Amino acid sequence: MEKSKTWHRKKIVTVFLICTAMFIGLAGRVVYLMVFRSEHYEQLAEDLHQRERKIKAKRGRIIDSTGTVLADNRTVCTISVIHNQIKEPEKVIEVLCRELELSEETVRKRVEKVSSIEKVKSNVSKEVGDAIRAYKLDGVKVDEDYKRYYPYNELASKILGFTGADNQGILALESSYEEYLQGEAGVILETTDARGVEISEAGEDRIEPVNGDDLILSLDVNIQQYATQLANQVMKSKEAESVSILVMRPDNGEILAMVDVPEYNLNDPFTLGTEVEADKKQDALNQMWRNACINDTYEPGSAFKIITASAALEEGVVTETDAFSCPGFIVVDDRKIRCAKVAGHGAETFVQGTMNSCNPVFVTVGLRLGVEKYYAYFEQFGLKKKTGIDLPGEAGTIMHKKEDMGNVELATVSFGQSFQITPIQLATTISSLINGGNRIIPHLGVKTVNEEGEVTNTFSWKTEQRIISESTSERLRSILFEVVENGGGKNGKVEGYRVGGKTATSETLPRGSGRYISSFVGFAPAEEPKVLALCIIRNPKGTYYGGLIAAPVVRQLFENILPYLEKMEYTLQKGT
Amino acid sequence: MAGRRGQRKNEYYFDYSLLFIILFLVGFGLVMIYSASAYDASVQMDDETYFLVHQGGAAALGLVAMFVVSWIPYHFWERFAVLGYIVSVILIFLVLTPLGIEANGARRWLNLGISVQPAEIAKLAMILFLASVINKMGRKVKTAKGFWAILVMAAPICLLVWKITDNMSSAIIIAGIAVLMLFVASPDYKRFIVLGSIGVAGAAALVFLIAQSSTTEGLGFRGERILAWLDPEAYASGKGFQTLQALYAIGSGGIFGKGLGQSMQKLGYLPEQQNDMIFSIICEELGLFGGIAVILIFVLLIWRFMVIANNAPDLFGALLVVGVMGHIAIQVILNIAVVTNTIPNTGISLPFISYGGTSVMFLLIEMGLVMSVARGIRLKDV
Repeated sequence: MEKSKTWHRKKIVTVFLICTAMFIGLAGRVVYLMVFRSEHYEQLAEDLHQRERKIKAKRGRIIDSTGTVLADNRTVCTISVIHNQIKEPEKVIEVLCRELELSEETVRKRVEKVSSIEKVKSNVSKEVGDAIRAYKLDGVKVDEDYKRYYPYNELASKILGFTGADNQGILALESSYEEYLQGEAGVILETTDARGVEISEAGEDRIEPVNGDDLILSLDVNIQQYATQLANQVMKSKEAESVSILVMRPDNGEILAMVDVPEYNLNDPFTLGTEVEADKKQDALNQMWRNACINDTYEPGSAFKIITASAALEEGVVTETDAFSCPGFIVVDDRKIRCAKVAGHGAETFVQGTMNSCNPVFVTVGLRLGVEKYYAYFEQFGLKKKTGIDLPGEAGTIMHKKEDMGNVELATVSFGQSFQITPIQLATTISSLINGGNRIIPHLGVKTVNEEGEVTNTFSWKTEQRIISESTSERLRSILFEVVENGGGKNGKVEGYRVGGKTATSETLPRGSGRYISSFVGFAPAEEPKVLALCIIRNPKGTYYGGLIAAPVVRQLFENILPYLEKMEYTLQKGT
Repeated sequence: MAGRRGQRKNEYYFDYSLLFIILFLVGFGLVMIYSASAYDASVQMDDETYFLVHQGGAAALGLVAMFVVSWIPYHFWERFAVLGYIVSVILIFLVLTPLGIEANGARRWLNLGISVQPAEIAKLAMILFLASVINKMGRKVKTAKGFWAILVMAAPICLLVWKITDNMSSAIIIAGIAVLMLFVASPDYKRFIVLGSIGVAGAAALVFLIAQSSTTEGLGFRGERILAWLDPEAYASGKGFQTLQALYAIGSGGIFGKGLGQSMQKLGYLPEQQNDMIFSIICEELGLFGGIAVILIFVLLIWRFMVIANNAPDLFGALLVVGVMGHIAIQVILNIAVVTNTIPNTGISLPFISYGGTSVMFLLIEMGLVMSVARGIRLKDV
């Protein structure tokens, strides 16, 4: 038998040392994992062990200036399945199919998906949720949350908008004030084993939801309702395509009503009135949801003469008493531009020309200003920019490029043709011109209020942007008062009030189609305007002159709301 | 040093520190198996002590065997060296017969009344066989011929374990034991350095090639394991799943651990939690301190082996201890390396601690052998 040699001992020690070195290396690796990577893996492990259940935040309501709730919440249920806890999958599938009226395929996919929690359907009515709960099925969770509910159905649909399946704002105010309305969802974190069974000792972490703030609007539900009623009436009687009515305060830009009939039912926004092929449904829905007051542009027509008049008065190229003569047309370069009155208005002053809505007068005034100046005023008045209204999707102005503008283009622009702006742009610009000359931002949102009634945000819409002088504004008001009192806008006259305004009629493109847009813009009181209303009737049948069909709408509106507003003002002043 | 401790100047030495380390490891292993498996056992077997009872029985049997073997002079076993080699080969082939048991997609077990893993027996047989052969070869082991002869003799068992029982990890361990024993027996270094360099270079080249290949097709499951090793989070639901779950467990243990029994990962998240992956549960429950303590215990164990091997009365005894030392060292290093994703995933259990009856029994028999060698140390020789 051989004795172990020295080299054996050396080698045994070598083996030991090599092993020890490896152990030290591994120990280092363990230290790295457990000290430096600990947080990373701990977080991942926690995500794996914890099942998240969202607690929806209550969405803030939308409330008008009188305190009437326009968008509210209703309790509904969300049905979810927890794969690992389901004991009778077939029964679960059968019950959920029946109660939720879903296809078996859809439900089966959710039930058989291996995940910690899978949502089957949300926005289920409380009755159905209670019914499902009564089956006491393992692995089926019924969570209550809130669904948007609009008490007035169609009222102000185009400005309120609606919410989607997850209660997120999709259109209009619901979308633009999303960050204030949505609140913050809460979470229930349950620790579970791999089968999804809750570990009771671990308890649950609960992060409470923060409910959204209520949004207070400048809108007045009474005015909105009355304006809607008037719009519907005139749409029906004139067999018009659509009618928009905008009511705003010219002094601060607050919108009191914005109607664009036909409106749609906010509680059922995906149902079209008519049958449409499936592939065209989305287009038809988008069309139905469009708010023509801000999403669409049109040729403003004669109402734009207010802008031409303002620029000319401000620049001093015309005075009220300047004499003009209208033969029924005017020749600009080699083009003959006709007046609405073919026989011509004959001799008239500038004020009379405005009262008559005489095209040759305004073409002449426009040409006096020249392209350069006219364009400068167009920009100064804010007509090239968007108004900045707090509704999404505002359309921009479609205007000639300055370098492409010749005398003919200038002439047509002077009486409101050959370019397009949105109704809200027209109303805002006219408001700014008659309010003393300050550009305003039209808006609906006034402030947000939390659940305790404390004001959380007050929106500021103030601008210090003067676009014309105080005196020009005053002169403009009195000319426009004359238009209503004795001129083409006399159908807008309201007994006992001093109303200013301007009518407009424009033929839509292509010309000669017989499709017209009639409109009237009016404000009162003429000396110190408190309210401005714009009524636009698209494609009316029969008489289409703005002075004949749109002005009476505004008159009826004013007859009702002017006393109402005075009373409101009185109460307000008394209150403060 | 250790030998001098005994005040009793009687002729034989008994390594009490080794015994203590072994008992501690077996006891600690049982505690951890119970902690790691109780949930799984109650879900699967409706008896949360199922794995504990089975392992406890095997450990008790193993401890009895250990003491018996420790009392038998180790030279008694020398005559069974060749027989053991042949029996191992036969047992491996028996796996292919109806006696074989298939589990987890691999046929590795034999039903001999109790279930036995031939690979575990082959490890012990290889240690005994090589110790005897090298001892008999004498000086010839120094020659190139002797060097290759040993490797050629060891190769068949490795290949059989790898190919027949589809157990690459055990094949690697057996090959490692053989190389280590040869390393100690031979005075040469050069050959081993060359051999080692070739091995490392080959492995590195393979990993590089697999990492560069654009598709996973044709790589087989071992290729995918290598990709999963390089980036377990990218293969989280496939080959990287187990590794990632182990890392979650280790990482979430932190410095002081969650406390004994408080592991979350053992609740069905981590596969093989009482088996190959038990080290990660130790880390999760006992923290960095627990993990390092376990590594330290194994270092101590190997240190005892070194002391005994260096003082063994003869080369045969020394080689037996070296074989056992290699067996345990390789297995512990590979296991911890796998669990910490230091090397690609392959199934290797942690000696004494992981669940596995055959494994703990044969390990304890090997411990008996080492103790028997230790008894041969005459204190005056030390």
